[in-house]
This record gives sequence, C-alpha cells and structure tokens, in this order.
Amino acid sequence: MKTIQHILLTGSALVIISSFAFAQNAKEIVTKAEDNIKGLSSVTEMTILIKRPTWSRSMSMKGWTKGEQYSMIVVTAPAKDAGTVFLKRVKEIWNWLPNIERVVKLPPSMMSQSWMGTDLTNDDLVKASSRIDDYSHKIVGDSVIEGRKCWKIEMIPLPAAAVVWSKVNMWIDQKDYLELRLEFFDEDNKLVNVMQGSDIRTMGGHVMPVKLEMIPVQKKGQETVITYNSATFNQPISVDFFTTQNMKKAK
Amino acid sequence: MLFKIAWRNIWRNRTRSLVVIASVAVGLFAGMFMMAFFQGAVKQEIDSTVETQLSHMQFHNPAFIDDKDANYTIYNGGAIIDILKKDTKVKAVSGRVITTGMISSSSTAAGVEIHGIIPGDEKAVSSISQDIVEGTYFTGLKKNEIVIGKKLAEKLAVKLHNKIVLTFQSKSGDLTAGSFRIAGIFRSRNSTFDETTVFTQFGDLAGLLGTGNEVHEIAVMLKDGKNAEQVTKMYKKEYPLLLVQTWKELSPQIALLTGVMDQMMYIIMGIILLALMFGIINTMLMAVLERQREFGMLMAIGMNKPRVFFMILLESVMLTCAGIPAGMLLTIGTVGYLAKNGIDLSSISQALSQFGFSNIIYPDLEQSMFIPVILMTAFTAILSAIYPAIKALRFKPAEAIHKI
Amino acid sequence: MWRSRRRTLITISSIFFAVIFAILMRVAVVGLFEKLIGDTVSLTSGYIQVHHSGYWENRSVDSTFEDNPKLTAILNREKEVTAWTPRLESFALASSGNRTKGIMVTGIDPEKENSVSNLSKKIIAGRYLTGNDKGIILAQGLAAYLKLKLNDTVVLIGQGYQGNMASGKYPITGIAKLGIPEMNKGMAWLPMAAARDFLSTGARYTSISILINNQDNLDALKQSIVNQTKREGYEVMTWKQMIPELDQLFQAKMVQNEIMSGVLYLVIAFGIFGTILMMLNERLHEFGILIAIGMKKGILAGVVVMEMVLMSVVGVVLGAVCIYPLVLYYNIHPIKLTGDMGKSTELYNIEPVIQMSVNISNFIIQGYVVLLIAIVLSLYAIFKIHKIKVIEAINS
Repeated sequence: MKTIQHILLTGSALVIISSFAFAQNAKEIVTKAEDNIKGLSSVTEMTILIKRPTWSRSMSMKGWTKGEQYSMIVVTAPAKDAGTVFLKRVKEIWNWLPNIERVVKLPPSMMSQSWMGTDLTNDDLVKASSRIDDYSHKIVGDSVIEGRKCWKIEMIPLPAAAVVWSKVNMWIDQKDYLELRLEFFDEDNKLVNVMQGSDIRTMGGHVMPVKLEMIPVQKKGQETVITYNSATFNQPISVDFFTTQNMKKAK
Repeated sequence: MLFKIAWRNIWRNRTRSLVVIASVAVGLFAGMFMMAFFQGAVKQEIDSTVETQLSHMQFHNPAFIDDKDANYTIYNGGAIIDILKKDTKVKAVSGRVITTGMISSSSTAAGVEIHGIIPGDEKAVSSISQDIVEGTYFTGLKKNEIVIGKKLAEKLAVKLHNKIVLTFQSKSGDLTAGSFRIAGIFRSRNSTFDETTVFTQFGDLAGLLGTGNEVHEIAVMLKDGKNAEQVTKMYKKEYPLLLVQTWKELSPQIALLTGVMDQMMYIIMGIILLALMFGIINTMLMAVLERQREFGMLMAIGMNKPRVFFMILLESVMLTCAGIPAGMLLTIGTVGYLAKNGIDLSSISQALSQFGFSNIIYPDLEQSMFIPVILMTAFTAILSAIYPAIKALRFKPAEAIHKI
Repeated sequence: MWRSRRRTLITISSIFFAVIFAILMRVAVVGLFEKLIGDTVSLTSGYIQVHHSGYWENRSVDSTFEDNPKLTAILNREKEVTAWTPRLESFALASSGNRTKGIMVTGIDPEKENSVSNLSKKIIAGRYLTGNDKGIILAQGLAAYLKLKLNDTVVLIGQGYQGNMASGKYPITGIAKLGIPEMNKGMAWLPMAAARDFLSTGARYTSISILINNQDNLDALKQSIVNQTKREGYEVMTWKQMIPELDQLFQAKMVQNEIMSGVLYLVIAFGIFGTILMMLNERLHEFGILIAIGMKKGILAGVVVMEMVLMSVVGVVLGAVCIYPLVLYYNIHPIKLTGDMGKSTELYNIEPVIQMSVNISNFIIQGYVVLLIAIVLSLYAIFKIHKIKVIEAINS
C-alpha cells in the first residue's frame, strides 16, 4: 500500500514539476525568440506587396532598426511615394512627407489607421503589449513548418494585459528560435489574423524567414506580403540616428 | 336695468346662449391645452438631452473645450465638488475624468471619448444608467469594466463580456493602453452619442491617465432646472478662471429649438383665437339677425341706440363669464389627467413607433399661463360681439316690426 | 339658399375662415421643418444619395465609383431632381504647427455644390472656390482651432485610394461658417481636381447628392433611380435612411402638430356648429310651414343637407384659393424672425426665417377636413328636422 502511495505521490509530483518545467520552458522559448528580434540593430531593404480582391500595390523600402523601440523606414519606390519617411521612437510615431515638406506626429486617433495602406496598423508597430510579459505560455505540441520542426506554443493574455485577442498561437522553430507562424483568435475562438513566415535563408549572417505574410483571414483575398531583399545586422547605430531632423535626410 | 334685460335675454334663448358659452369654453380650453402641450413637448426635448448628456450645469478648465488634453484638469476640482454637494439648490454632482482615444476589438477600431466616472455619483446625474439594454451599469466589483453604446458594440462586432482595448495619451504624453471587459451596453436616443462615448470607472481611467484624483468635468443637476441660469451665474462669479456653463450654453441647438417653439406657440395661439373670434362673430350675428324683430321693438318703444349696443355687449360679457369657468374646468380635468399619464405619441404615429423609443409628452400647465390666456380669450369673445352689436343698431324699427 | 343671402354668406364665411386658419397653421409648421431638414441635409447627405454599394456603412475611400455619364444623364432627365452634386469625401488629418485635427474633407464641383447646399452663402471670409483653384475652404471652427487665417497654409494627410498615402498642403482661400458646431469644427472643401490629386483616385466620386423639390416624392424618386441603375453596383438611399435621427425628430414634430391641429379643428367645429344651429333655429318657422303643406321630413332634411354641403364646398374652395397667394408670398419672402430668436437661429444652421410650405397637399388635406367637419355637423340638421313639431314650428 505504502509503495503505491509513494509511487503515486512521486508520480504526481513529477507531473507537476515537469509541467512546471514545461511552462517555464515555453516562456523561455518565447523569450529567446523575441530576443532574437529585439536585441538586433539592423539595416534592411524590403518590398511590400499589398494584395486586395480588386487591386494590388507594391512598395520598396529601406529600414533601420535598433531593438524594438527605434526604427526608421524610408520609401524608395514607387516614385510618387519615394522619400516618405516613417519614424518610431519608443511610443511615438512620426511621418515625413516630402511633397508637402512637413514632419507630422501621429495622434492616438490615427493609431487604428493602417500603416502605409497595409494590413498592419500603426498600433501594431508601436506594439503596446509585450509577447513575453503580457501572456502566459504553454507548449501544446509540435509541428513542421518549412521543413523545420517547431514548437506550437499557446499564449493566453493575462487578465490585465491590453490585448484584444483571447488567444495567440505561435510556432517557434526549434533550431534557430524563429517565429514562423502566428495565429490570432478573438473571444469566440474565431481565427482573425495569421502571420506566416517562409523562405528561410541566411541573410547578413542571420537565419531568418525572408518572406512574411500578414493575412486577415476574415477578409477574403486580402493580405500583405513583406519580402526582405537584403539585411545587415548589428551594425552600430546610435539612438541619435532616430530623430525627426534625420528623417528629412534619410536615404 | 340693462343688466336685468340682458340676463333675461340670455335665458330666453337657451340654445343660443349655450352655443356661445360652449364656444368660449372650448376656445379657452384650446388655448390652455395648446400651451400645456407645447410646454410639455419642449420639456421632453430638453430633458432627454439634459438628462443623458448635458446636465443643468457643467464646469471645465477653459483650455479643455478645444483640446481635450489630459493635463487640462479643473484646479481644485475635489473641493469644488464638495462645495456643490452642500449647495441646497443642487440635486446631484458628478466629477468625471475624460480623454479621447481609440477603442479596439479584434475586428476593428474606432475613435471615442472615454468618460471615467464614479457610478454612484454619475447615476444621480445622468440617466444613461437607465438606458442599459444588456448587462449592468457597473457592479463596482471588478476592475476595468466598460459600458459602451449599442451602435458602437455593433460596429466593433463585440458582445457583452467581450474584451476591448482602449488606447490613449496619458498625462505625460505617452501612449497608454488598457484592456477592459464590456459590463453593460446602453442605448440612448442619440445614436451618435452611443457610437462615440464610452464609460469606465474613475479609478481605472485615472490610473492609466496618471491624473490621480483630478477631474476634467464637473456635471451638476439642480433640484429645479429653471434655476440653471441663476445658479450658473453665481458660480461663474465665484470661479472666474473656470468655464461654467448652463446646458443652453453647452448646446446652442437645443436652446434654439425651444426658442423657435416659443415663437411658434404664440403664432398658433393667435390663430386659435382668431378662429374663436370668427366662430363667435358668426354665431352672434345669426343671433342678432334672428332677433331683428325684438330689437326693432325695443327701439320703437324708446330704447336708444347706445343702450341696445350695451345690452348686447353685456349679454356677451355674461356668456363669456359663464364660459370661462366651464373652460377652466375642462382644461384642468383634461390636462390634469394627461399630466400624470402622458400622451403617447408613438401610439399615434406608425412612423414614430418604428424608432423603438417611447415618445410620451406630459402636458405641463404653468400657473402663470392662466391669467394671460383667460384675459386673451375673454377679450376676444367680447371683441367678437362688437360687430354684431353694431349691426343690430342699423335696424330700422319700422322694418323690424314688419317682420312680425 | 339664395333666399337669405345674408345668412348664406355668414355660413359660408365661417367655413371660409376655418379653412384659412387650418391651412395657415399647417403650412407654417410644415414649412419650418422642411427648411430645417433641408438645411441640414443639403450639406451632408443630400435628400437622396447615390453611392457605391456599402459606402454608407464604412465610408472608405476605396468605396468609390467612377464618373458615369449614363448616371448623370438619368439624373438630368428626372424632373423631380432639382439639382445634384458629385462629392469626393474622405477622413483626413488637418495640421498646422503642432496642432492636428481629424476632419472630413470633401472634393466638390463648386457650381453644382452651390446649387445643392448654398455653400457660397456661408462664406464669411475670403471667397468661394472655382474649379481651377488650388486652395481650400475651412470651416470656421476648424480654422480657429488650427489658429489659421486666410492665405495661411494647412496640411492634410490621410489614407488615399488603394492604400496610397494622401498628403498635400493648401492655401486657405475661404472660411465658411456652419451652424452645427460639430460640422463647423470639422469640415473642409477642396475643388474636385485638387481632392482627386490628394486621394489619388482619378475620376471617381464617393457620392452624388441630390436635391429634390417635393418631399412627398422622395421614395418614388428613389425607386425610379434604383430601377434605372440596376446592376451598376450603386446603392441609392434617402436621407431618412442615412440620418434616421433627423427623421425621428421630424416625425415627432409632425405628430405634435397633428395634435395641435386637432385642437384647432375643435374650435373651428364649434364655430361652424354655432352657425348651423342658429340657422336652423331661425328657419324653424319656414320648416314648419313646409312640412305642414306636405313636404316630407326626409326630403326637407335632404334639401337642407344639400344646401349645407354646397355652402361648405363654396367656403372651402374660396378659402383655399384666397389664402394661396398669401402663402406663396411668404414662401418667397419668409417671415423674418427678429431679436433674440434671430440671433439664436443664426447659431444654428438655418436662416432666421419662418418658411411656409407651398405644397398643395397641405391645402387639399385641410380642405377635406373642414368639409368633413361641416358635413358631419350638418347631419345634426337632419336630426333636428325630424324632431320638429309642426305646430310649434309654425308659431315660432
């Protein structure tokens, strides 16, 4: 009798500990994946393709980022929009519009507007919430994406978190900790948004998905595709680079 | 002597007299009822907006009206609220923290004005708490509850208990966000209000804004709304640096509506009195023609013209005096009943009932109205008698007697 | 009837005046509200609006439609359409210095716009736009908030067509004052060409707003346009569908007006009744004799009723015809509201006037009602006649 009890006790303890361990692991995995993106400073060139049921548009851009808090993007093509600059400083967003020669700060009311006409909003870029701190994480399985084995991690926002989703599923590649797929669910458990990374290559010394698709599932025929054409990482860029004066000179 | 004759004349032809009395009574009733109805209608208009949005009086930091920056709070707001609560003319006070920002759901986002309120105080000031169609106003038990309008809920595609995120600029200028759960959904008569105003609890909003106990708006309901101007004036003097406004100043459109109604009322009263006048003139004229023989005889036996004239006038006066109390009784009875039960407009108009709001008007009779209306009616009635009386004088006694 | 001309005249006149009053009251109130609605609706939705399917729901610049000569031909053909104007509207941010405000900017065809909304009359500084202008008109409240004056430059940015970024700077050509504060603080107008440039739309509109003359034909006209434009992907809406609150207000006022008309009818009815009663009384002697010499009571009653109906009809028609010129005059030269009232109406969208409606239906309705009242009352005559005791009658 005692042995059985003993086994049961140890067994349950093990289960508890291991699930505990697993939970920790999930968070650690996510942290690692996020840090992958955060710690970097980068200079990239990309093409953004906006697809809609009746039309599509393509833009080319060059961007500088320092961590998640500072970024500057200048549009290089088409000619009509060339020279438009987008600057993010921590939680502020600024625009430089060459044809009217004005620097404009985006007020909160414009936050819900789409960023540059894409399926991302200005708010998404500012990202008021943190994927690490605002969610609880749990590994719920394995999947293979783009030929790579991935953890499927279920993230549930904490009660006080300023997040509209009820659940976010994230697939993280087990080798390089790349965030390869994200699924966003509303409170009726309906899939609303999907972010899919593909075409994994080494660029500028880093392994990364070169193609990112943002798909609003409920809106048929609509998506935004970001393709990185070139990237260099960890070049020293000072915070002073990201200023409104510099916006006018960005090239 | 004239008096006695006039009196007897009245009784001799009861039908005629009755008709004139009835006309006067109805005329008076019509005038009174109209006024009461108008007052009731205007009151309903004002009340609904005042009760849901404007309140009788509001305080603001003057800079706040143009730019709803969180920094423009009311200096010493807390102290002012305390003073107001002690004022005997004041029925209820609510201090609010307000900001503009964005509300987002998983499908879309919209710009809104966010009100942080203390449910207990706000309930006494704004009637929105009674317009809840789903859920509850605020239980006060949970943190970060939000109450939004039905039109907004539809736009955001959210239901009761769903989560939404509010994003706005804090006092220090940083972008702040917080998630809230929908505790209740309201529906007022003003769907634009429903779409653009959301309510959260004071503490929750102030915490995110960083404004502590400060308020941006103080709304006041008075025990008697008619004192609004007077009371506001007093507080304007007391706090010259603040913007203190009556509901009229806050919403000139409403003030206009009532003004237009007032003028229209006089015009319509005028029309009713004219109608009354013609009705009486015709009746009296008929009567006078009918009594040609009688007048001819009176003049033949020596009654002089002025006397005949006054006799007729006197009859009118007496009939009017009888008609007025009758009219008053009718009015007080009808209006008294309706003032309690109201006239339900939507049951009369199909087109109106489709909007789903009950539209009840409570006729409101002010004592001050009595005298003017009575005087106007009496005046009209007696004036109406003049033309027929003059006509009576034209009779040639000889011709008149021949009519026998 | 002609036997006692005086009596006949009096009866007719009581009905005559009754009709006049009934008409006056109705016409004044209806006129007032039609003007109120007109002023609000002409600047925003139009009485009827043609736009792309789904536009009214989400007001997105992407929900535009192309310039379509077939559509404009249809609109020009419709007799009920008094004027129409194309508009290109979009939400944008207006900014100057550090001040930014979300506003509604509308690209207009200046002449056509003026024919529908009278915008040029609302200009209080500077001048109205011409088609070739590169400048902008700001609403007064907006200009004040941005601290801008004539000839200053204002910057507009927003979301253009198909995701294009919209940005432009414009000198202020004119400042317009609108009565409704929300509109006064948040509207701006550009010439169509400049607006198209701003939004990168090419030859497209967000809406065509239509002015009509006769409110009663609202739904019929809408249906007619719908029928003629099937399968083009348009949506045609009336102002009642677009701004239901305004309709609700209007309906409520109409019901209130009905109740007050009811009260007026009561007074009128008594006036007419009095006349009828007196007439009967007076002719009692005559009736008595007629019955005595053999006329059946039924026929007598019939004759009397006929007389009354005839007099009523004459009274009604005369009344309506006589008052019409007066109403017409006041329609063209509305009564000006003076003093406080005048000032407070200027705060609002409307000119300080009381407009009278020239809508014939008002006249006809009132005519019928009064006629009805007169006829019903004349039935009392039948009743009375039947009760006549012949001997008493002759002796009266």
